[in-house]
Amino acid sequence: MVIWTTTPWTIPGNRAISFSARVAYGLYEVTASENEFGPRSGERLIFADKLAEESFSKAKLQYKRICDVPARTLSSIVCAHPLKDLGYDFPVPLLDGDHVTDDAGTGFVHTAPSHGREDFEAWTANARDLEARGISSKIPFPVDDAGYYTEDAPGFGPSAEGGAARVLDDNGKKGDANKRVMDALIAAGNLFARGRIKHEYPHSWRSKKPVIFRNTPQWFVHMDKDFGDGTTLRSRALSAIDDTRFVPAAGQNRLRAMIEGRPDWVLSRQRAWGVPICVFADVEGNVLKDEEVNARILEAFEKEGADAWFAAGAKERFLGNSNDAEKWQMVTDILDVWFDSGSTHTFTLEDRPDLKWPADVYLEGSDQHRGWFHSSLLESCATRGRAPYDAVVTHGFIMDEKGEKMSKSKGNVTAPQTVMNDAGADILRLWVMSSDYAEDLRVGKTIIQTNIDAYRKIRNTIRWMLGTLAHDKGKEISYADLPELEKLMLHRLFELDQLVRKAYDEFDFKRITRALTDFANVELSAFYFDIRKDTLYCDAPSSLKRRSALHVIRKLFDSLVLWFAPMMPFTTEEAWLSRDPNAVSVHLEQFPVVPAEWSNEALAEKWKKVRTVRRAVSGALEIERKNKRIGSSLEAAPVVHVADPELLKALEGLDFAEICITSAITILGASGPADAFRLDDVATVSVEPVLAEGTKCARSWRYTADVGSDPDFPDVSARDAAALKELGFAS
Amino acid sequence: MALALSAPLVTSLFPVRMRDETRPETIARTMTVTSEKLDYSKTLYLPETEFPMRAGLPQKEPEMAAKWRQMDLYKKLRASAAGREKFVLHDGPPYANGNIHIGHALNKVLKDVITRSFQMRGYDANYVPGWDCHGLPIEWKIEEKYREKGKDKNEVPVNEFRRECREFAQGWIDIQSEEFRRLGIEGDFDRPYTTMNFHSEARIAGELLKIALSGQLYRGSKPIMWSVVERTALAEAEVEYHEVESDTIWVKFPVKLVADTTFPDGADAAEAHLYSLGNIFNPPRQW
Repeated sequence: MVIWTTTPWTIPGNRAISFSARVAYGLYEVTASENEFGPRSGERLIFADKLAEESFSKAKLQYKRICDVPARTLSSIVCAHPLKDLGYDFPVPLLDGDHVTDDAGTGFVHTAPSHGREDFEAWTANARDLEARGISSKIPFPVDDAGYYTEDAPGFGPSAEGGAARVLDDNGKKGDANKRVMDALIAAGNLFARGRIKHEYPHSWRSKKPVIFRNTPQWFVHMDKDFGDGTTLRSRALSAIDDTRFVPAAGQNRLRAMIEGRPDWVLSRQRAWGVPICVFADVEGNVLKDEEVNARILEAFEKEGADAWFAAGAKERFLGNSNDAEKWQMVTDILDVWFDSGSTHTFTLEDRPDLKWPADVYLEGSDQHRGWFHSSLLESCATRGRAPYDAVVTHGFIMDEKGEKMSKSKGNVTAPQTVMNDAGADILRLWVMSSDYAEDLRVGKTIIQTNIDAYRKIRNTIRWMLGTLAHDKGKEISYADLPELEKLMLHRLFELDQLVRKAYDEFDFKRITRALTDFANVELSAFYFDIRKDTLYCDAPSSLKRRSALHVIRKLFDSLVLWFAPMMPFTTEEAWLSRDPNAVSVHLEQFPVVPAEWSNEALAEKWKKVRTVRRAVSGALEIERKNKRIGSSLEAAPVVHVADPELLKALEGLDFAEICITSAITILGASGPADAFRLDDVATVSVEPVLAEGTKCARSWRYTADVGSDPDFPDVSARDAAALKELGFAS
Repeated sequence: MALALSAPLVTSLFPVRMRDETRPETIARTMTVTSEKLDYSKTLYLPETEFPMRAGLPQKEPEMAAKWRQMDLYKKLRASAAGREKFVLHDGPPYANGNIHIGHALNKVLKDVITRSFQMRGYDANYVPGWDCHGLPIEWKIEEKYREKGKDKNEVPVNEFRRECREFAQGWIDIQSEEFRRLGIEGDFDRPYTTMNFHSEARIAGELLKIALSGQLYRGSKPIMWSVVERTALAEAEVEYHEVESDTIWVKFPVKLVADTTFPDGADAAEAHLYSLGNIFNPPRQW
């Protein structure tokens, strides 16, 4: 078995060989050799098939392939260390690792857990299995802080002949470690080949000198140690995940997989700006457990902050007289900042009487399954046995309009400050609210403009209602007295109320913005308001229909503004205070209470049919308008043929001319002429766009037969004349 | 059929008059009998509002945010919801370093909408914003300042260094706080939480000590990036890559044992051959 490395000095730290089950391996036999060291004829070696040729040529060897070596066989192989006779007398197992490829080397990766992150992870991930196989999972400390080998590197440490070999010296120059290791390998007959290579190697940002990976003492939290109640941190965290609601649901499996697979939590950092690991430890790493010492530490932190740990005399101050100051040393590492944020629930949720523990919701970007959701879960499970949250909601990340990552160099960054200064915070908020935030979101000039357009429509709907309600006296009309059209709008409010509340519960804001903007554009502006303009503008103050419309528009205004208030706090506040200058703030209001009596399914069903026929009439008039045969629909008095008795029945008793905004209308119950207008999807309705008869009312512009019936106002219709009189006008 | 009539379009327009213009009611009082012909458009209940078509949000929003602050809307919200069932969305703390970017805006807007939507549905939904203050990025900023002044970090007393980090973090908390309020985020910005607040630091330390007392804290080891020259640990972000020439070696590891000598049913000929090679290289030896 052959490995390849560019850091010969890490061989004393070798504890395993990694392979990959996805790589094809073969058994090879050496048939001829040239080098003075290395394999001889007849020796058998395993290589990744893709890399065998290249590896044998490096060692100037002839070879032949014997057979396949399957992954199952590899995982059961144990090797000897190549420097076994120097004191490395332990088994070297083979580990299956995801990081192994057959792009370079031999297909087998030298694994020294003291000297590499992937090596460490592969080793710790297998630690439990190795212990079960009787192989110690202990990680040695072969190199000290000055770059010298220690006694953990037999044959190269302080007691070796010639003293300790050194990896790097004080100036960052290479020491004698590589040479001494290679000489030892040749002596042991285990150097297969050697060479020189140019490659990228890490250097300190400050000194520009090479750095090394070296094993150091660190502080950990156990994932699998029994708390004494049959649970471990891992088992507690896994069951807490089962008890948590995830939005979207996929987050649950994501977090579970991370908790299942993670190693122990490394808490220590060798830095200065953080909360210290404020414990005392002895040489063996035992932690002082003294409640009085702990109380002194916490009392000092509360008053002086964690700086107290680093202040002069801290050791004596906290340790007190009852503990052996020789034995116990202060740890000067600081805590992983994820431990800080994992503990926020304690000093907010628990400590503030205006909050509560656990939280209803934690909401962050989906990367926080690895971050805050994760650390909060572990911290809380370790200290309180459950998660500090009931639900976890995640959002995606923001891309530019083409779906590419934003970067300053690409010039595709959208800054929130720019959007707020150019368009407004409410526009930015509306963009968030109309996006599918669970996935990655896109933003850019075009997308912001789309939201500005959508905003203008909403704003104009609100504006028209405000203008109309300027004439509202606030009189309530009992439900029973309302015209059907008003009852229909209240039914829609009943439906929307249910949708809005449910969607807010489910954090499904896109559904709300879509439902409310569709409602405002399609059902209000283009239907209800359009029909009611004649009544609202022209009817007499006493008109029940006009007062009913005002009553309903009041409800529509309140509902829409209140439902939008969480999303667009500025615009809704402006509208609310415009409607009632004495109000304090829309944000102190509650969502509208929608009475159950507004629900009227039968009416809604009937009006679906009414609107089907209306659609046919509008279609016919649209053609007339386009061909400039009429200007306004009020110039028409169409004849409508309704062959479907169900549709015909729906129109019974309604002022269908008003609904179609025509001056008159004739409804006939049979098929119309072949050349009459028909919609493709409503074959049973046909429309003849007849011109309205009568005279145009100078006030309402409707064509009626009764224009001039009141001699005081000879140029207006009877309804308008009566309205003028009630308003106190004289001719 | 050809219709000869033409008239101005009226139904698709929303004619809106300003409030200070004459309304029918006012006309009724001021105009009595007159010989002039009545202008009917002034007898209609046309919409009247000062709510403008053009929103002017970039000017109006900061004024409104200032007004909410002046009237202490946050306190009024709490008072109006006193005694109601609580709904708590706990803020995940952004790092107190730099201006907010679009990702922060997305995050805070979602939190704000959720909080407000519960507040308006019968809950006491209190949002307390927070900041993450400790950690490497702020250390670097201070070290960077030192380098500019030719100062050596190792010669500065640790608590003086920590004080500078603390001030730096506080500076950004103040800036981000203003930016979040400009976005319309409502919450306890006068009393936010920070991880560097003394009480927070004491609580974080207390949590660690709890874990230590429960026997779950232990000293182990882990490889870290180490600068021999500086005798210090380095974070990934403090490391840069340069091309160097190194020794490279191929090393043989003698196979000592194939533990799984019972080869499975259906093993193919090559595999069987492998096992029959006397465990490939040497006679197996038990450890």
